Order: sequence, then C-alpha cells, then structure tokens
Amino acid sequence: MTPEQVAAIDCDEALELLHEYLKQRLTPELGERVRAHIVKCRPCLSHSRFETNYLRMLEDSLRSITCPPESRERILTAIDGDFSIG
Amino acid sequence: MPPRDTADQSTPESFEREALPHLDTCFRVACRLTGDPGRAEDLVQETMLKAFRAWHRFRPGTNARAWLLTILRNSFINQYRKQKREPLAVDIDAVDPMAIYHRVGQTDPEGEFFGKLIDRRVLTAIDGLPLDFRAVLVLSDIEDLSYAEISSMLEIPIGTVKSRLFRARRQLQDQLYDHAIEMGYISPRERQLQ
Repeated sequence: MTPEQVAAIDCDEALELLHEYLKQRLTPELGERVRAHIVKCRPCLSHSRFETNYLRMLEDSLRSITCPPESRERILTAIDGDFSIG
Repeated sequence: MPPRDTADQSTPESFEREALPHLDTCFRVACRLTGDPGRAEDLVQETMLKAFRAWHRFRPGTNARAWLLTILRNSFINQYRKQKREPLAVDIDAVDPMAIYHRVGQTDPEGEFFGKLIDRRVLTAIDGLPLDFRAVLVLSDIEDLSYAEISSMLEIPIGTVKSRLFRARRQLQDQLYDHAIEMGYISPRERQLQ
C-alpha cells in the first residue's frame, strides 16, 4: 500500500470533518487528507462550497453586530458603580 | 519570583484590558439566546458584573472569552429556569440530518442562495431554532469556539455538541432554503425537476 492509500479518507469521513476543515481547526496532516479527498471528489467539493457559503453568510450577517454604545455605557457604569461600592 | 499579585489582577484596569474586549461577543451571543436586544443588554450587564466580582478567580493566560461566555450561559440558564419560557430539551431525532442536501439537489448545489439572504431573515431563522440547537450553533459557527470549549461551557459531551450542531445547521439551512424559494432566489420550476 502506498502512503497515499494509507492516508486516503472516504466521503463519510470527509463530510464529518468538513466544518473543522473549513474553520482550519484540523492538524496539517488531517487537513491535507480532507483536502486531497475533496479536490478529487465532485460531490464533496460541491458540498464543501455549500458549507463555505453557509459559513460566509453567518459571518457577513452576524459578526458585524456589536453592543450599541448606549448599552456599553450603561454596562460600564454598572461595573464602575460596583467597584466603588466594593 | 513570587506568584502574580492577585490584588493587581483584580483591578478595574486588568478587567478592562482582558474582559471588556469580549463585550461584543457576549452581546451577540446574548442577543441570539434571548432573542431580544433589551434582555441581551440585561444579560450582558449581569454577566459582566458577576465576572468583575469573580475576577480574582480568573487565571491569567487562560481564555477570558470562554470564561465570560460560561458565566453568561449560566446566568441565562438561571433566568430561564425561573421563567420557564420554553423547554430546554428538544427531540433531536425529529430532524432529518440529511434533509437539506438531498433537497438542494441540482437546484443550487453550492448554496449560492446563502449570499442573497438578508441579515434580518437569517437572524429570525436562528432565533427560531430550539435553544439547545441555537446555543451550539452560535458558539461554533458564529463565535468560532472549539467543540471542547462548547462542551465545557454547556456541560455536555463533545459527541452531543457535534450531533446538536449537525442538526442545528441542517434545520437552519432547511428553513433558509425554503425562504430562498419563497423569495424567488431559487426557481420553483428548477426545484420540481429534482
């Protein structure tokens, strides 16, 4: 068996690891095995793009939400009050 | 060298430096858990006050964000138990985990429709998920916490984190896909050809 065959993973494994792969949380070795499968497997490549679009949508829609300045001010005032009392 | 001076660590300055940069993260998570910006502000305020009072127990060099979110989650659960607004548990087997990908078929196999959705609709769909689902989804897919961090924060096994997340994503994607069809982002005719 060649090293490539030993390292090969199937569609089920690739899909199970897909999100961790897309979020770059896998070890370099495991990430490379997922990548090697995806680039050769059309359905998994398509699924990977689907999940990438999903994650991008969440990032675009939600990451920009910030605590409004007036809320921030009230929270900081509460902490300041707590500190001076404590 | 003596251990770090705990008095120094409990100053407002160190709290401001280490904890306050995570205020936006706390607010985002609180908004999705409570579904209401007013309640979210109350929850973040309670979280920050508790964190400030317990600041001497925070270990420098550990993850302040995960520490704060754990306090936030516990505060939320306590409020929730009192109010009993909706059941915490959910029948996760009721959701078909493969539904969306089978449904999408040839219509929009790469999920282009995600890019056409307006933010408000996405938020509404997330807020409509059962609490157990939306907690893991928000912590993982929006705030980028690891499975291990979520497991420790929610006090559930990593396997449960994964299965809830898997189903939460499917349920959310499924709803957004329906919405994309209703809005005409995806043609119903194409859908029938599957």
